[in-house]
Amino acid sequence: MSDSLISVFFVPLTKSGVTTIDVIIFFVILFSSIIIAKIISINVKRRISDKIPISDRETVGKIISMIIIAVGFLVALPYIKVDLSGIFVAGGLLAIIIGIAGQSLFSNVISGVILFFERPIKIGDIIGVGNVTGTVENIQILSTVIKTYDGIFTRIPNQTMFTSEIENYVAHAARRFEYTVGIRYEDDADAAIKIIKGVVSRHPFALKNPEPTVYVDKLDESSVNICVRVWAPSLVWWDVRMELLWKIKLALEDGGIQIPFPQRTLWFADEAKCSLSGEKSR
Amino acid sequence: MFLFCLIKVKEFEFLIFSLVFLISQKDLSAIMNLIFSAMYGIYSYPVHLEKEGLTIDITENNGIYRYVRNCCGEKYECLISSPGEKIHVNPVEPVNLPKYITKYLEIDFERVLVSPESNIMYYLTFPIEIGVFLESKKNLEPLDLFSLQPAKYSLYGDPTNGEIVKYYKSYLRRDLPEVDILKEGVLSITIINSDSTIASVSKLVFDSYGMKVYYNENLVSMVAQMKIYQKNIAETEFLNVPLLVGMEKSAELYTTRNIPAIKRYYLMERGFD
Repeated sequence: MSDSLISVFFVPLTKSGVTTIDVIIFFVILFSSIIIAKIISINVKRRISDKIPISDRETVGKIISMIIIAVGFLVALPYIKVDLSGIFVAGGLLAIIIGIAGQSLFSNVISGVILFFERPIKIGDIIGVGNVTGTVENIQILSTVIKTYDGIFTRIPNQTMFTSEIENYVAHAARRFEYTVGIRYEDDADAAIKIIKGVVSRHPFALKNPEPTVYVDKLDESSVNICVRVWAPSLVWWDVRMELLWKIKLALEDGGIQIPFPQRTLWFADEAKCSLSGEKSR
Repeated sequence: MFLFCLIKVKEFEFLIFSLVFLISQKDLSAIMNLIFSAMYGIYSYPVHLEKEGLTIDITENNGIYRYVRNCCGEKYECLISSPGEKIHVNPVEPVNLPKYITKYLEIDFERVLVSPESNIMYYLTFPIEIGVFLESKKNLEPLDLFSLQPAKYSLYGDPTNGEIVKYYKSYLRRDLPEVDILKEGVLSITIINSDSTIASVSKLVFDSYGMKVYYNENLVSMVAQMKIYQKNIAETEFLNVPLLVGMEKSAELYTTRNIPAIKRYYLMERGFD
């Protein structure tokens, strides 16, 4: 009785000789690979949870799981007498087609991996790539997301990031900015320098070291130009730059020093003749 | 309210008693300290605290508690929904104002030459930031933060590899300096030169995550040490001890904000002169 029951499993179901036991083994391998894929992808996601963004974590988990299931499927196929050589030929052709079609896709992935290890930017950095400037919101496998100062979502493919010049404005702790402040020729430049230095030194984020520099830079057409160079923490650089300029202007005005309008003084060789010709013409 | 009045009456009685005692002892500085202290501490509310133009009020109106702080022309208000709890007013790690951009504090002072393989203790001063914490069911929550001391920042190291630090100019002393406890605290620093050459020291950089601030009615203090290993490399560390016996330990901002502090020392790799 039991022998006849066992023999049922070995009865060929198809012309190619696939038995019931072959079908069972096929499904066991397939289900095992799905379970193994699930377990491994969960563990990998847990391990990398604090290292990469959520979106990339999900993608990595899915890729790992799909690879394991695909391997399990290929291992299980011979049990149902599927000729893998045919699939491999078809797979090879498919791979060539996908390779040509997905060239830029792979290029983006490779660029993303290189950027991940090179780390020229990180999430939260203020960067400029091409004509896009803003804060890095996310670094994904295929692209980098930047929020511009206008609040616009901008997706830059990693290949573009990799081949472009990246300006990271906060990579260094401090950053310098510069103003040119023009004063009248009759104003005291030393007094103006003293006033400007006072304003800069009172601002908490105008760094004590490297020391700010204030000096007469140019004797211009309408003004004596004073150059003001200040270092500020990169994180608050823009705020300091905005605040200081107006404070300098107000302080100079309080000190009786004015910022002149462009002007030109004309000297005539013979004032008498000039006024005479002026009268005649009238 | 009755309890609050009772506490106030008791405080007043204690003040009068202390004043009489001190007048009998002719101790003028202690009398001044007693009159002008009493800002730091733990208070039940409603409460009114006032000192040198700084006022802290928690008032109750129909079961709603309002916290109001006036300081240097700046006013801060918020509502508190926990009746019958306490507030802690104490100095905190001085790296948070006007905006938290660094956890490091640099104290700059006149250059001192330290003999090889020796140690010496000095007093310095550091800026004070005052934190107000709400205590509710043994939990502390930061409520307010302010300072009477102007802030300044600097860069320790060069612009490429340096660190932004909160900057403070101080002067080395061998005796305990007299300071306004709402503006300045006293830092006891032991410089240990374990190198075989003379060390020239003019600055100290500390990591605020290891700061241990203690206070009493007359003094705010921290105790730290600097170990010089070789030219341009030293380690600074705070010690969890009060400068004087009986000082209270301040509630710390980094612990109330649940910031994990892994290392409590700072390695000064970019020089100290």
